Amino acid sequence: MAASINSLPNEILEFIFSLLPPYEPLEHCAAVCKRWNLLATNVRARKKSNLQKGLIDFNLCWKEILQESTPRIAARFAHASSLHRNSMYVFGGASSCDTTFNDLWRFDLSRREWIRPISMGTYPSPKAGASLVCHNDLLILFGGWQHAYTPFHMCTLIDELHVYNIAENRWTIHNQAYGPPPMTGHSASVHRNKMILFGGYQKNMENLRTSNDIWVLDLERLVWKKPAVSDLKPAPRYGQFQMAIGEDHILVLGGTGGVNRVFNDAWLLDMQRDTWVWKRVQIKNKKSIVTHNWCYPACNVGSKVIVLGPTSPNDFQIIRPNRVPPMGRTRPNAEQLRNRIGAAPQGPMHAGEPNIPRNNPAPPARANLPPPPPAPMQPTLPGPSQGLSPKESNPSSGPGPSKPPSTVNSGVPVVEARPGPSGLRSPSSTASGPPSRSMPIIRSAFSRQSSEDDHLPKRFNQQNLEQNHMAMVAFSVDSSNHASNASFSHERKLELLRKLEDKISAMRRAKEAEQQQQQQQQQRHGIREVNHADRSINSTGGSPDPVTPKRVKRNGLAIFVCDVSNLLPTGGAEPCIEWQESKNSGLIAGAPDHYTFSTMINGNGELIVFGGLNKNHKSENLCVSNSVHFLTVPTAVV
Amino acid sequence: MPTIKLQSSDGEIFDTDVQIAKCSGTIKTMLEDLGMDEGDDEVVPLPNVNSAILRKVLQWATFHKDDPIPVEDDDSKEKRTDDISSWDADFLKVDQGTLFELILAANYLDIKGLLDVTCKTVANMIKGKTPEEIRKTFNIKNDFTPAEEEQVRKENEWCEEK
Repeated sequence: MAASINSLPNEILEFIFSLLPPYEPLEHCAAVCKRWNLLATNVRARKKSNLQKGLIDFNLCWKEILQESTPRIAARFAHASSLHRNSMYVFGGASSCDTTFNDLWRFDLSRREWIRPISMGTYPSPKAGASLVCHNDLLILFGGWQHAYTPFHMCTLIDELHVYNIAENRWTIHNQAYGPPPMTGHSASVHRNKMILFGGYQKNMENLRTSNDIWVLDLERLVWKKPAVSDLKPAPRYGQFQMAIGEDHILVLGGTGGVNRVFNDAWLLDMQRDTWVWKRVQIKNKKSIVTHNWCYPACNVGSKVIVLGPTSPNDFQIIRPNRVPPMGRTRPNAEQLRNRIGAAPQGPMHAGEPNIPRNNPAPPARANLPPPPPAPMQPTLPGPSQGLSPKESNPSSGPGPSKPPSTVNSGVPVVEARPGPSGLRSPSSTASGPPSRSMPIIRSAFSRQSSEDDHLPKRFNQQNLEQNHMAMVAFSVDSSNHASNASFSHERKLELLRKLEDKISAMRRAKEAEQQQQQQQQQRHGIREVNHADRSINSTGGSPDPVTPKRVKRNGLAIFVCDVSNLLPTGGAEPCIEWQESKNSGLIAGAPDHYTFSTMINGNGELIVFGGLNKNHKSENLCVSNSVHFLTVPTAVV
Repeated sequence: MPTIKLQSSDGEIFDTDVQIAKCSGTIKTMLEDLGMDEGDDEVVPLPNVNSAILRKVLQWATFHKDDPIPVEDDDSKEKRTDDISSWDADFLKVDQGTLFELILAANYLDIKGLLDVTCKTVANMIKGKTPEEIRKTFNIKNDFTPAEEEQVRKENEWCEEK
């Protein structure tokens, strides 16, 4: 008469199962006996539908696990990640100091711990911004970028195709005579036995360009093909979000075309016929759209796309100034900035809507990361900025003068000179480090400067950066200034740079004094914010009407949800997607800070966000994360 | 201190502090709905709980009588299975039969805290075991045919959402 586990009623057994991680342990329960199978299946289905429901009514919560266990994955951003069974695989990415990784990690979702499989075979090169998709028991890794080995290149783009066999724990390389050019920031999805790549920032012949090409990889034979595609296409872009809609359709959201060109459009690719057809997708409820961002993570849960992004257009405000052509930033700039910032709060709305980048997610689940680095984050951030600033600012200003102000969309101008990647490095490394590979000369120039103003507030620089940021990210190297050109004008630019630098530092000193005054004033007025908030305020210098503290403080990532269930309407209706109204601007307590270039994947009833660059860190160094955050539904008791 | 009398299925009477007895939602409702007042000499029959289990339940309830009342929908709290207090852990070092009867009693008596902690204990017994180990642990018969078992294995493998 002693009770056994099977004398418990169904509800209680289901309750017990719901306490288990919805991965391996639940699978094991499902394999115990018929009754358990049924109940475990119910529990799993309920967890998934709860997340769907939670996304609709914003009944969600963030959780973070703190890593205590030993092997620990190094902090990184622009890594690639993919879900396979009960694990999240993470490959590569970039660190805060000029390096990229080629390690592969597995995060066991059941046990919530990192495992580093020591794999065999031919390892991929260290790289970030690659795409990683899962097909059967294979992970397919393509493209990416790494820091340049030679002085005149910012970043090296990569066209390697690797396959990781999970069961055998082995990497193999599959480079074919015919295939896509080196690229990063492309997006990928799997359809039956094909991987479809779209867009990206590519190197074609010797030219760098943004692409809207499609490439198809036959996953059985590992052969590349370029399909016939309709003339109407999305504008060239990278950093977009791509997802499979059934077997024969692809949805592409957002992306960026370079500096100051962030797309908020949506496109549907129909692959049913011989010639593939792109169709523009109508967007409903644009006011709830993500305010910007193509460098933030996104993924889909059923027919919902979830994008993380800054809470309000205001978050993006500081960047706006940058829209101005990047070039002449030096002097006027400061003034402009001020004004702008002051003005910002008033005009958030329109900022958000029109050209501001709506958001586009970095291609999350699917792995591609947006390109390069660091710069991007800066811009977005409201105030803070990290170590980047000093260095970066220089570069931007340097090149500027030499070229004509390019227009908005060309982010190019800034480019060459900027030590893109180098911007990444932390100050300390800059100073101490030997002038290294990527732009040695420039670097040394920087380091000089940076040592000079270590004590200076960084914001001024930051502002400059922001503009670049996009550019940089984009790698926006204009094709015209490529290697040869670059070398040609290099010296001249350096000269200019130096002069600029001097000017800037003089200006800074003046500014500094001014700022101090301001600060004091502000304090008197009782405006006190948290670290970064402080900074941002200061940075605005004399802005009469500083950003309200409240706004500045909201630095958690907000959740944006888009319903894509109407993408394949029956009866010839136009495809459309609809952004959902969010509560509290999509902010939920415990949200991760502003990470960019992190990844998000869809687990069982939870979304897993890993890594990224954190813009709000107060220290000078780039803050790169290795934390894992979960977005899930508060568990209700049965 | 007002007390009431609880009668187990095997007839034993437990003189219990009302406050403690009321941690059971079932008893609380009974007292309120039926208008049973403290001090009445009436006996509350609990036909689904035997004396051994009732004694355990009351022991648990006595220890936890000062716990804050659990909020109905405490959304913000994550369900974890590793946050069992050491007292509870010791308290639940019992044979499986007792554990499951405690679960049943907690369910019947509507004692949320006890139900939570006992279910977590069972979840912990399941965690980290293979299906075969689970069957062994709980003495469950495998009623799958080999074909069905293979099917289940495959389903697990492909359960990822596209």
